Amino acid sequence: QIYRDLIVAKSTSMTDCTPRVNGQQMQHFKGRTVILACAIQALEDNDTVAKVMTCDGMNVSVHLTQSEKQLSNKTEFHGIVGSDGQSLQETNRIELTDDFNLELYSQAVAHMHGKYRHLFMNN
Amino acid sequence: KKRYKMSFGGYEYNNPGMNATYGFDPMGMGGGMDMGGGGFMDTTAPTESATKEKKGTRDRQSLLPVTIKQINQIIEEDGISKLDNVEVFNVCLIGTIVSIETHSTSIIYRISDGTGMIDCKSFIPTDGNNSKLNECQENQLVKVCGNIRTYEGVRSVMIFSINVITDWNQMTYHFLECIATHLKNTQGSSNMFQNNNMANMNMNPSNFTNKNTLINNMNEQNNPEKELRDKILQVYRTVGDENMGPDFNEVLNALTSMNVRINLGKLKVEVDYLCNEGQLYTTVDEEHYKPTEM
Repeated sequence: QIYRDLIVAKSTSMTDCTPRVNGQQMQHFKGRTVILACAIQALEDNDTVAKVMTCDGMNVSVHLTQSEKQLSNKTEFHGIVGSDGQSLQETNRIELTDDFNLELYSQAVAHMHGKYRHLFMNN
Repeated sequence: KKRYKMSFGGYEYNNPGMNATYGFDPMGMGGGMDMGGGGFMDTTAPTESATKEKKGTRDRQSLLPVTIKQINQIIEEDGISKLDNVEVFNVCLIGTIVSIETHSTSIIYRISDGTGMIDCKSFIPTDGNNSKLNECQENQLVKVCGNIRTYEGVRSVMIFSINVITDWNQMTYHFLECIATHLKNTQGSSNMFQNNNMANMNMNPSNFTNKNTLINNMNEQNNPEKELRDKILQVYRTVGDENMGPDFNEVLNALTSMNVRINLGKLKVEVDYLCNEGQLYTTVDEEHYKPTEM
């Protein structure tokens, strides 16, 4: 029974979705872990807060947990959306290349949350 | 007899279900393409069942681009895995490596693409040439091609090839490709590629430099304006003089009989659009048009 419970727990966590969002969609995922691809605009508060522009052109604050790591111009942040829906508490980040097309990505994200969300989301 | 051999990134895979018989066969056995001894040429066309079997075999050979969420949506029916009513055998997914578990003969990569996580297993080559596997580190974006396995309800992927991706636009392209393939499998390829732009588009991620992309064509798929344009084209193909084509009044009358009511101004706008797309051309004057394809 314990073994079966472990299998169920593993299968449940494996099916957990971390949705990719743009700035506007962050409002719908307050308190949830999301993936936010963005362009770094500036660093504030002793390099602990990054001001970023999301793929749909919104300004968001990302509270960094890995402030010692240098940020690339475009970064994919994994983090928890703040209660204001316009901030993100970083849990992980992945550097993107400068030629990453944020505009195209924004349109793809719109599709992921739109008619084709059943291919990307759990609900 | 020749046997097809599939090859994925150096890992040789031989599917016994993919036998094909070609060439000289003195016993006259096999498909209708065989030549008998003594110069007798059997010109019998391949039978329909042989064609269907070949198509099914080809489908099993193909790589289906999927998200991890879609992998978890695969249904098992009579021992056959199906997604969107299409048999699934080999899949291709893109995601970041969350963790790596190394064993004596295999490496298990836990891959996440935002829609879920899945374990992907790769056997370590016995010849010691595991440079590609060594390249894969945590947090790297990788493209995995492999075969779906299910154990105790948990899905995993048996890797044929795993490659590190440095161009992150490939991730965007992959997600769009998943959507496009899903549409093709659920709505049919004729609807997907009805628009010439879709059929002629180069699906290379490096060509995504402007608005003329897969997304625009997918947006048109859901656009009611596209339905109107399709009906206008249908009228131009069926109504009017054979040489000159119909004028605007004839088109409006034909559309009215199809319960499509638009005014002259709207019709001119749509005809102008279709002209720019290369679907219509003017004949004797600015009032008469004909379709480029009947």
